[in-house]
Amino acid sequence: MNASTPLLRIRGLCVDFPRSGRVVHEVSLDADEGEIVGLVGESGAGKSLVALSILGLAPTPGRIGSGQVSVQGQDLTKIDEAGLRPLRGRLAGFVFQDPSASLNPVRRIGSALIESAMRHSRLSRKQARKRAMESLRSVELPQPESAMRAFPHQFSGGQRQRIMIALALINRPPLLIADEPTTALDAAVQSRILDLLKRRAKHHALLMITHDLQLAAGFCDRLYVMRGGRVVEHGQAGELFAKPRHEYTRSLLDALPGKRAMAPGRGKRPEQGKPEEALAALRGLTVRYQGARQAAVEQVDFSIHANETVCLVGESGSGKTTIARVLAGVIRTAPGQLRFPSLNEEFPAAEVRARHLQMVFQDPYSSLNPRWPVERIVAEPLRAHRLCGRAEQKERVAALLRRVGLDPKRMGRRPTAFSGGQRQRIALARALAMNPRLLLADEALSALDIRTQARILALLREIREERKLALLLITHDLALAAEAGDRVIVLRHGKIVEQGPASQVMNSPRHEYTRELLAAQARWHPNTG
Amino acid sequence: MLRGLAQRTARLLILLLGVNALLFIALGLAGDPALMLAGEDPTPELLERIRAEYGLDLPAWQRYLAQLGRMAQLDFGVSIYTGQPALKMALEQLPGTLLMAVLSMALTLITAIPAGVWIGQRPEAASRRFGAALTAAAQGIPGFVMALVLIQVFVVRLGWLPSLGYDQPAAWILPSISLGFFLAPKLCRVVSAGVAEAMREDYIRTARANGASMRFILWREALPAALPAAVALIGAQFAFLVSGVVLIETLFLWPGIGLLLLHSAQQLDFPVLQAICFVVAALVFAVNSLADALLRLIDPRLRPATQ
Repeated sequence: MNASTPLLRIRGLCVDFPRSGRVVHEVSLDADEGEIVGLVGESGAGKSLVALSILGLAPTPGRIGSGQVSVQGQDLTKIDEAGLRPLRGRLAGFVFQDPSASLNPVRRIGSALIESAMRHSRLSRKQARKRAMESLRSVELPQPESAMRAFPHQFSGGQRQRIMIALALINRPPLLIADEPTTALDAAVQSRILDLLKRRAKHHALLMITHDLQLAAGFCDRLYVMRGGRVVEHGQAGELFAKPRHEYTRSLLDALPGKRAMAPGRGKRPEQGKPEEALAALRGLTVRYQGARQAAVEQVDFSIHANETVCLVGESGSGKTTIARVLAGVIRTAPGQLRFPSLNEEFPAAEVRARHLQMVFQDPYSSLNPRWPVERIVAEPLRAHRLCGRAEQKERVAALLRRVGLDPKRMGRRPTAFSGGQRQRIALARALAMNPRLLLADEALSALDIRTQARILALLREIREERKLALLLITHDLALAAEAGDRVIVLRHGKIVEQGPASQVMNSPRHEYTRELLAAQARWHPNTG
Repeated sequence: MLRGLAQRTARLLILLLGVNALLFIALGLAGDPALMLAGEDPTPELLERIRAEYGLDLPAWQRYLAQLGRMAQLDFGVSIYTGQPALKMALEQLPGTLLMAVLSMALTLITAIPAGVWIGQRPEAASRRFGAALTAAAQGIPGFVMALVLIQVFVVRLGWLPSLGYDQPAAWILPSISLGFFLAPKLCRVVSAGVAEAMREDYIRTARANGASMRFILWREALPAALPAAVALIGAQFAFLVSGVVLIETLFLWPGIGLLLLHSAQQLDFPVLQAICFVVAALVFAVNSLADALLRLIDPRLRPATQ
């Protein structure tokens, strides 16, 4: 190996697909031992494709059109599939985004690790077992002995990602490729996994793929920013973050929570509305799922008023979604625990409730029926409650689509013809069709790219102002909550640990847990100011 | 575990009661066994005597209750024709049926699983599409038609194989293949669909990124993920397979429980029919329980949490 050649060297890499043509254009990238290199961009930018192409793993029928990829001086584009296979896992190990989908649910952790070790080195089963245990210990998984016999579903998300890292590292590859390794994880877990990756990266080159520019800037040494299959900018992480040269990088930075233009009237201390005017009020809400040892939600009190945005923040399992379900009427509560004071009714009828409260869900792909045209999707609540006739329907749907910034001419198309952000707009139009007083958005922004997120959030704000709505935003993202909310409520293990005006919770958190969450988030996210 | 077993047993008892009641009604509609027993031109006195002897002169509900009482002690009475205990007759025919069932199941597994894996690996490829179309066509052919074709070709035309005879293994071939046709195409489709689905999962990408060979990926990663559906299918289709047994045993004059069922039905031999139904229901129940247990073994997510 030539001393001047970096460990990973990509030159002019192009990836082609027979139908869509060239998807990755002339990408060049270096990564050296002990270095953490970030590949940043929004979804569809071609980041993952570049990483997968290194060892010929691009999904079929994609193939490398031209360019060179070398690891340790060995040109990998000249090697065929049979020759590449033994190099996979040995030259480069991969960690993928969703650890629950990336491990085979019907196979034991131990056998996956042992077989992977034996595939590449002439180890006896006993030696491979020893190597597997070492690998699990190196990722700091508790009780590696019993973990070997367990199946993936018996672990938490963070533990599964540790197992994925152990699997990627078991054959001691010089290059570790991590594709959105922490995107599916909670902030605190994310921080611990990043710590682990950083420690392991001392002995490897780490190529880190992420859509989170802020995270990349805090975690990586050097960054490459991709857009539309091209690298538009690269440089030292700190420098690039402080002084972005390319317009696209700047627009990404401007879209970061906290950097986005503040809405008028925000920042002032919200006035507390009168209790009898609350749109929804929870009093000592307690929900226990059948067979569960712990209550999913315990003694939760809060109310929400017209013209305010309340953010419900917490990690997965904190009870956020259970509260949303209670509000939506999916889960019944004990009498008195949920009231709608402004309606003067303890148990409003379905239609009254639907006019009062509507929801937008997290996943813009599965929350819209793929077989229905957009017109039918948006008109569904109207039809369900027999609120408009056929002739009127078209007009109302058109008006709603215009309001959320979509072209009414496209109402005949199905959801597949729209992007993630556009689908979330469709879902919003559907929710607005009933003209609700309270809009509930359950992680409705988390699946979106940062710039799309900023635009949808701005739209939500506008509509809130315009219609004097109450907006209940459920999220795991503290930065987003700080930016969007008038009031923030922090949940942990089903209990409220802290609530107050957004600025107060963010700037002077009172509870230990809120501080911990803020620290975990700040750890890898440098200030954008 | 014990509670599950108790629930299952309760379900079996309800099932047997239901089967029994249905059978009682169906046989009541089918005809009068006394007429069958009495032979040509019976005198009214003879019919009277036969009815009294077998308790056929009592009202239906009395007969039904009496029969239930006896069955609770596993006493199905004696055959109207041979005079032998009915349950013993049914059980004596069981080994023949089980032999054919085991042979055809083995045949089904060793053909349908590799074929399913092969098709599922790349279902969009032309050759695999042809294979899939072939299995779909095979699924459309009724099993007895297949049996008749096989007899015509291998027995009548080519004379390679005997069609009858239980003692020579060569005669086992055609019945087993024919019976295999009842399940193999379905199993092949379920396996290929399961494998195709698994091949799109993220963990296959993980395996590829770890340098696993295609063979390893197919057999050790994708097939195990497809197996639960296959086992569930076998469990659910077993009862259907029993109807296949009756057809195939009849066609090949195979000494088994299906042939006995046919003869007993033709002769309205109530006790034997009841006994056969009991044995078959118990068998279906046993296979279903086994399939459920097997499912829990191969799909760890179905096991009760231990941690």
